Amino acid sequence: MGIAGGTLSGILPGIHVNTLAALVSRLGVGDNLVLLAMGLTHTFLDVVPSAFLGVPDEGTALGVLPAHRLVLDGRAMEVVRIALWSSLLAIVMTVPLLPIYLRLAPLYRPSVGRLAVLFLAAMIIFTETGMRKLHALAIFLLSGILGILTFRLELSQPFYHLFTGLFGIPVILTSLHRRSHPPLEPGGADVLMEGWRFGLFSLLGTVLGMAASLVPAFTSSQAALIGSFLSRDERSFLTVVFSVNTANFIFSLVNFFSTGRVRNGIVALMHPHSVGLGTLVMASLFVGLAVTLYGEPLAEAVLMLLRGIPYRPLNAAVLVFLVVLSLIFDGFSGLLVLLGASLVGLLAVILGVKRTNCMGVLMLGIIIG
Amino acid sequence: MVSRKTRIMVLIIAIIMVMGALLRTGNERMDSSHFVGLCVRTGDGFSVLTDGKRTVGVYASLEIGRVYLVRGILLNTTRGLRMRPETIGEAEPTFPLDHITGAYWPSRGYSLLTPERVRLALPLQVRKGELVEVAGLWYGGRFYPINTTSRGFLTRPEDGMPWTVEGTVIGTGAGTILWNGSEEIVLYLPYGIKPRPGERIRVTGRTRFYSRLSLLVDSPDDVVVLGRAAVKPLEVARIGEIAAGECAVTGTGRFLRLNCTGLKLAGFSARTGDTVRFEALRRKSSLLCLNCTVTVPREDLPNGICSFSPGRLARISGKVSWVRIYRNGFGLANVTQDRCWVLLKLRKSLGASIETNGSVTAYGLFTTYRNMPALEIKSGDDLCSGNC
Repeated sequence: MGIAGGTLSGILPGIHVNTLAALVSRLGVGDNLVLLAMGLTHTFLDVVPSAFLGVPDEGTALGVLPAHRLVLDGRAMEVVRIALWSSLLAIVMTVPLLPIYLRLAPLYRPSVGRLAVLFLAAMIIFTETGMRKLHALAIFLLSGILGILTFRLELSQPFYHLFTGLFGIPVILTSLHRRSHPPLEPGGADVLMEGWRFGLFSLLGTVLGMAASLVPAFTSSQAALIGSFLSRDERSFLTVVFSVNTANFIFSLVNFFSTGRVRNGIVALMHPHSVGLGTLVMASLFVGLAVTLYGEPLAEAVLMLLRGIPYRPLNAAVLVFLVVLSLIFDGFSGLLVLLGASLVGLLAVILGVKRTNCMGVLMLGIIIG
Repeated sequence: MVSRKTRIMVLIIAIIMVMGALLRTGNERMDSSHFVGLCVRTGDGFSVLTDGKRTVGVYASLEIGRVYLVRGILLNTTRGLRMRPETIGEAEPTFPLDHITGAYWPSRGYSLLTPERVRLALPLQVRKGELVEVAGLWYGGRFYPINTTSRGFLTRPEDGMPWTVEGTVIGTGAGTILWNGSEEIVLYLPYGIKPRPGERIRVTGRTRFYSRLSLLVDSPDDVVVLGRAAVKPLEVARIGEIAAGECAVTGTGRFLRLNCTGLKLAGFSARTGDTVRFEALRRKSSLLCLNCTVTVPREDLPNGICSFSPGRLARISGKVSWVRIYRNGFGLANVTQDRCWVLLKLRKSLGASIETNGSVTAYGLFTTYRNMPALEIKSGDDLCSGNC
């Protein structure tokens, strides 16, 4: 049931796993293992809407552009394989890191997280060149203020509006603006990257995911930012992003069961102290293997479906769908946040600064406390 | 063509307008703070904590009845205080608690009987009917227990309070009667629960002082059969114990009269003169047959016509030498055998007719009639004339 739910939320654009989990929880299906399977499956499959349609969520926001770029280059299935295998590797690599994590988690203090985020923000801004440093700072601050204003609202899906606006809608609008579109090609699924590099970047992603789960509101995308400084090409960066995403989810669960800290929306629906560490690891491995087995054929089927639809109308339909979803989730307030985030995202595109600066949406709030 | 600069300006103005709108619609954010409270409601990733004075909604699934320390961002919304948690941990209550002492009564929900019914939000980890002191909080008309201290069970019945009592079932009429060693208790049991007489049971119910001490039992689980009452010889058996013995029947009717005890035996039928072996429940003024058999039928008794002994049960058999019926209906028949004779008292109510020179067999008690040996019979069934 969890895997089915996670698959549904994973492949549908804009449907966050938290939304679906809250829905099934309302229907009385609130078992921790179901929620675990649902959340984990989602981290494997959220590559589909983010790469094929350019619709991100909090885990894949930074991966949207490079993934979408690879898809437009005719390497869609390679992106899917990178996502599936780096996610699976993250689960496997999580196991030996668990004893370290269990010692680290209780030591975390908010001041440590704040310093780390401040350092990261400085790195993002100062790696821009010349006048762009100022532009980057402006985007960082605007995103940050938008984030702070958004979290004051009582929204059910604040991350949806923010990330869709900052990272998704600008991509779709840019696509709509473009005159010609190459057709979506599945291409070869072989990962054009050495095995050892793939493993190494996946390990890096897992460690960064571990760090992300320690710091509140420090999302996978923020952790992947660090990866962006170390990875020089799209494939290695995507490996880091997807590993971070999955590792962050698993470590968040471990954090919750060991210290009670709530680090993501799925965990907030869970009951504390009811899943043992062994059960968690075994269930994660099972879910990971299962999703890896059917993930590629499923993504290929989705791609075939999308190929039948002209790209511009498809993008326009997705745009309308995302706006309607925002309205459904949180009404006018949600729409307002989506609009604000989309404007900031577009401004970043026009100013020509890296989209990572938009992560100020979460970072500024942490820095100022 | 719109210049890049214009587009940037338009975007910035639009962003400022959107942020202004967000600023106006947003909630007042309070400082990062912490709250210790008891979880009283949960579901859909949202829980309600209360400390008795303040109620805070927390965006997390927590467990009802546990006390949590939640650190996070407190928001003052139109629907009350809300907190986005950063850390959640279980904690000891730091707020004042209400205390209630009563007996735990999980029936149609969970409650404490004081003896008024206090509705509990959660079950307690104590046995039904156990007296407890509960510390907790009131919320929504229900009491949420946090700490529970057991005070044992009530040793004496109190009106309206639960009471657990052990004893022997000594009656199963309109209400089941239980003997606890000192008094009779009327049990009103759930439908379908019928303990058998002689069974020792432990029963928990709510005491009521009606005309008799009564116990209202509301669940089949509250009736536990412990076994059978102790079997003792008739002479030493006390109320609630099973008396065992072997006696001759001296009289019949709704009860049997026995020659070995003044107590009547109920629940078994035999004839005068039969010898009965019985295991019978000793009650206040009678014995209730549980396992009774006729060991010696009266036909096997020896002819006692030559061994007259006043007050003794006997069978006499012989020929009727004469019969005399008086005006008032009372009659006498002289029964002879060899050289022995006994007068047979024939009450009018027996409706018996005996003829001279006929054979007769009678079962009854030896007595005298004007200082002469006689036999008194209780019913017509105890007399057989002709070929017996």
